[in-house]
Amino acid sequence: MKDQDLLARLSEDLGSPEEAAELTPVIRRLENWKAPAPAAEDTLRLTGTLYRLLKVHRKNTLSYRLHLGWLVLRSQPRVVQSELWTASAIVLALGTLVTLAYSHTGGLNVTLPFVLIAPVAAAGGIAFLYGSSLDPALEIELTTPISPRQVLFARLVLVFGFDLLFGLAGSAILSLLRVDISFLPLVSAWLAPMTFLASLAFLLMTMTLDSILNQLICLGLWILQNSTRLVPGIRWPFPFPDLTAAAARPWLWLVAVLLFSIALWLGGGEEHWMRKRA
Amino acid sequence: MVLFSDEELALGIQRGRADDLTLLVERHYSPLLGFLFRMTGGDHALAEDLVQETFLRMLSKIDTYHYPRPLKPWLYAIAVNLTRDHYKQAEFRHTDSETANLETAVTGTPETELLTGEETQRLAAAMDSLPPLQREAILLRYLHDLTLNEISQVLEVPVGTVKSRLSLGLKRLKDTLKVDR
Repeated sequence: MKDQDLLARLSEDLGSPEEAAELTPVIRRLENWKAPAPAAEDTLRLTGTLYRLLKVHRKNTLSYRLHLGWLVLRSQPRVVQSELWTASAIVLALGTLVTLAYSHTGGLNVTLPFVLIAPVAAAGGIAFLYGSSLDPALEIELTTPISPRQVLFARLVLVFGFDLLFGLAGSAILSLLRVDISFLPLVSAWLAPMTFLASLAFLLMTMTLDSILNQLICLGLWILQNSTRLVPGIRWPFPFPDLTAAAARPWLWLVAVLLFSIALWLGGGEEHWMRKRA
Repeated sequence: MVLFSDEELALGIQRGRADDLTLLVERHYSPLLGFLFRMTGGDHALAEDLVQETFLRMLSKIDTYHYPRPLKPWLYAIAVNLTRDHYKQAEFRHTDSETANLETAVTGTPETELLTGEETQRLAAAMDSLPPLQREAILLRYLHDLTLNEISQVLEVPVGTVKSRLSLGLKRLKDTLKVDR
């Protein structure tokens, strides 16, 4: 640093040019205190350690996690049974056709066949999401660094998302072709029951790994629940709560979130799947 | 060649760019080593450890960095705090740092050769006689070119306090070194 610059700096710091001039030689002497240059191996050692840390840091960033999630999601359609997509699409398409032909007197959407079929189609798909006899890739997947919970979640998103899209498409077609059906009331009539039944199927799937039993339970529950609507005049010794009622929807969402969470927690450990397969 | 600012490099590191990390290390390793070498009274091995720890700490806390907050004061603040912590712990463990330095000097390792010059030894001793708070301010201001505002951020004290520490420290240093105009 030039004398003038140093003097200016000292004056700024000390507030007095006289003092600054007096202390300039102190700084000049201090500048003689040379420090060692860094050793190349120390810098290399540090950058090596920092790179490793940076990799860990990258793995913790949201964009990396989203990218990883996308990769897992993209890998799953190949593993999920191809019949599942076809079956869900056919059931929902049939539901749309039956509803189109159904003579509806107007009023409640909950009596429409589509509202009864959409939840069953989703639950059926989820029931076949995973299973020891259905999934030859299970053992390979258990050896990868991706946790079973992530795989399970990715499959759930895929299958449920597929059913949801078909459900929305069916509802759109119905609301376009029938003047007595409105899109939003129709969607809200089947969405909550569908999420609930899918979450139940998901929990049963992680608990039993038996797709047929799982589907029978969901279907049975849904038929019983709607039996009074399907067969007029039928009486049961105990009343079933009406899951398609508008008042039940907040509860259905709540229970669905709870069931999804329990299922993901249960299905998260590798040991769970190994034990189930044994 | 585009010269990125420290702050832009920090942003790059937050996004996981290894090249930005290398650039930042290359830019600040040597000055930080010099600062810590002088802060520790010429203990090269300790200064090296502290520099490495400073960068590790910086990286582990990089998510808390908010662009465009100046990076240099933050980096030096980490270094200062690590040095303070080291001496606090050394005090707690009843370690005599002077003895440690003497032992290093006797072994005659290459790094302590820098201390063999009479002038260097005298300067190190004079700086060592200053209270650490004054020593930090003087080193940052006159040997590492930080502005008063930057030092105020590093030491987390008002600019006025920085100025008074500089003034007191320099006068004391003048007396110790017996510098005449």
